[in-house]
Amino acid sequence: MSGRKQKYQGKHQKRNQKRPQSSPYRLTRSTLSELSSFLLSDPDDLTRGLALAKLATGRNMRSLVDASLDFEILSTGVGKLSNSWRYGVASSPIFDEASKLVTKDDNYILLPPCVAKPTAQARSQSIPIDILESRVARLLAGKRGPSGQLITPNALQRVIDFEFTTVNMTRFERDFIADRKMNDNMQNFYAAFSAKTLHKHHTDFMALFLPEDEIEAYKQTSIPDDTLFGSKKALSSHGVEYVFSQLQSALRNALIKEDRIAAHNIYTAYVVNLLQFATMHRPAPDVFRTIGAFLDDFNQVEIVDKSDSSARLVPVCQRARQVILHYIDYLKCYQERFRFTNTNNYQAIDDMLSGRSNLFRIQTASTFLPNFDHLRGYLSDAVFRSINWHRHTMASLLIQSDVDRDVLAAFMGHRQALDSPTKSSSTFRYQQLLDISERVDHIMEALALPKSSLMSK
Amino acid sequence: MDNNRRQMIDVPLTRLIIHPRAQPAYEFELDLQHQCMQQTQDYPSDQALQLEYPQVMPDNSSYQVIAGWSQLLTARYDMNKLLTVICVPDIESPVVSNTAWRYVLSRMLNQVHHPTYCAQLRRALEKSNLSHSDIEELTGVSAKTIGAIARKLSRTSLSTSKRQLQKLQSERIEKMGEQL
Repeated sequence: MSGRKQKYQGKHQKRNQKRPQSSPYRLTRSTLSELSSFLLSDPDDLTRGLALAKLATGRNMRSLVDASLDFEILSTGVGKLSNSWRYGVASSPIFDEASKLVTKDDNYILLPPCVAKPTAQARSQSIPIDILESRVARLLAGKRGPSGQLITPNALQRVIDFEFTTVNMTRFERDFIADRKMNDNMQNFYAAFSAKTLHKHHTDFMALFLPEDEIEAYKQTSIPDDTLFGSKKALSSHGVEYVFSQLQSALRNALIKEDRIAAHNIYTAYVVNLLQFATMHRPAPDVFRTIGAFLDDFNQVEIVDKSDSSARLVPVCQRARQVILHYIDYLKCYQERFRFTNTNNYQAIDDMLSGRSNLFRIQTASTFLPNFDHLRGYLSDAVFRSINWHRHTMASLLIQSDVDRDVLAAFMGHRQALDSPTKSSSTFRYQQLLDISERVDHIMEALALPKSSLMSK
Repeated sequence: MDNNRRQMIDVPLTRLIIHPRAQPAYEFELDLQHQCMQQTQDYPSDQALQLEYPQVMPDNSSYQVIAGWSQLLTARYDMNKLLTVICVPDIESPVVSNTAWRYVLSRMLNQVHHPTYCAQLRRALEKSNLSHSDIEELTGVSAKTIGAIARKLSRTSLSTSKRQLQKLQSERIEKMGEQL
């Protein structure tokens, strides 16, 4: 293979995954209808049932019958099949107390009885996967689509790729249902999403080719409105308020004790956490780096929170801007206290305000540490320094408010292989990031958080 | 303390530092809430006479302030400016702390009567022979009348300031009556 071909192999593979509805390889509705009638014609035939399961879920055989994926049949005959996605967990005394968006451990899709029954049968018989695959291939041998293409087991799996947009299913929901690789889209790790919406879209997809009576029982299986699947690090609104209220009461205690060092550190932790929440900055010791990272009169911030490739310039919403401006004023006043008492501390704050050092620095009895690491005492709880809840929570709340997921990916610094938002031919506009920032502002407004200073509501 | 060993010297602000034993008192005063709206004023450059002289002790290349720091609280700093200070010989550390706190307390014990503060401030401004513009420059507050300046400075409403004037008048009459 030539070097050039090798270089672009990955991109070509990605491009080939895009399956527009205009593609001649798409199976027409009538072909799908004929195919589903054929597969439903013998309900006791395991092979036909598994082929239908592939069509209905877009999954490969392993994702259907692998014993490591939980599966159960409900009393209505509907199947409940989990997927292979695993979400990161975190724990700390305060984080554990804060309420989360996702309250249950199980993530699953529901299968109508005509699909659930053969799936259960195949799992109970422990037939090797390659044998099942070859049986399905033999079943479909000779069947052709509208443009003469062979209908293979892979073609069945790809139907969902051609059709998901027709039923308003997002590609993230498609990936979840079809149990695609979780890291195909990094947002999959962050998002908590509505289970009810997922199942509605899945039902609508299956209704394209399954007779109504086959999905009737499936439709009646109710999923509570507030059930969410996905990230276990995403906090609910109450959870966010709880975390910030801990800082608020800690600050009050520090002020009562007239402990200015503790007050500085708690206030700094509050500002850092709130800005992380508003901009979806990952936790990092050099969080937000210097004051020079804030541009355009604190309306933008350049974030580098992982490697150089994580660099991104994002808008700062109005509420977060007020908070950082208030913090700058506070630092100026705090610096004045040291003018005639501690020249080292005076100089340290001067360095913060002039961009010669990190803006957010923890204070000890003798000095200012170089960054936001080593939070001590009460602030040592991981929720304030290392748990990535800000990004998970804001991403999930934004997804719930129906933001454009591609713009959200750009805001979060996730780059798809073929995405070049800054290319001249790209239709991406900075205004789209500003729109997200406005949503962030609304979300923060709805939370009972202090408006600018930690002590003011 | 031997007063003969005191001397007045001019030192740049950059070489002044609050004595570590005086810092609690200094910081306490920094945190005080004031009756009058605080205005940071440049000390006029043509001011021949400082109204107060910081008391300092020499310490290597710097001077440690032990009392008399009011100008350090209110000046808008030009750190290259020279300030006249009273240099005192070595004082023992416990005495430094006592001196600093005595300084703060003496300033607090001389505060003006709170319920008539605005009225008395107005009387002081009226009685001074400073021009209207001088008062505005000194206080950093602009208003049409002296009464309005006093109200702004003391954050007092018009009705309250009127009540204060009446109260001040009746209390003065009462006090004079007692003296007769």
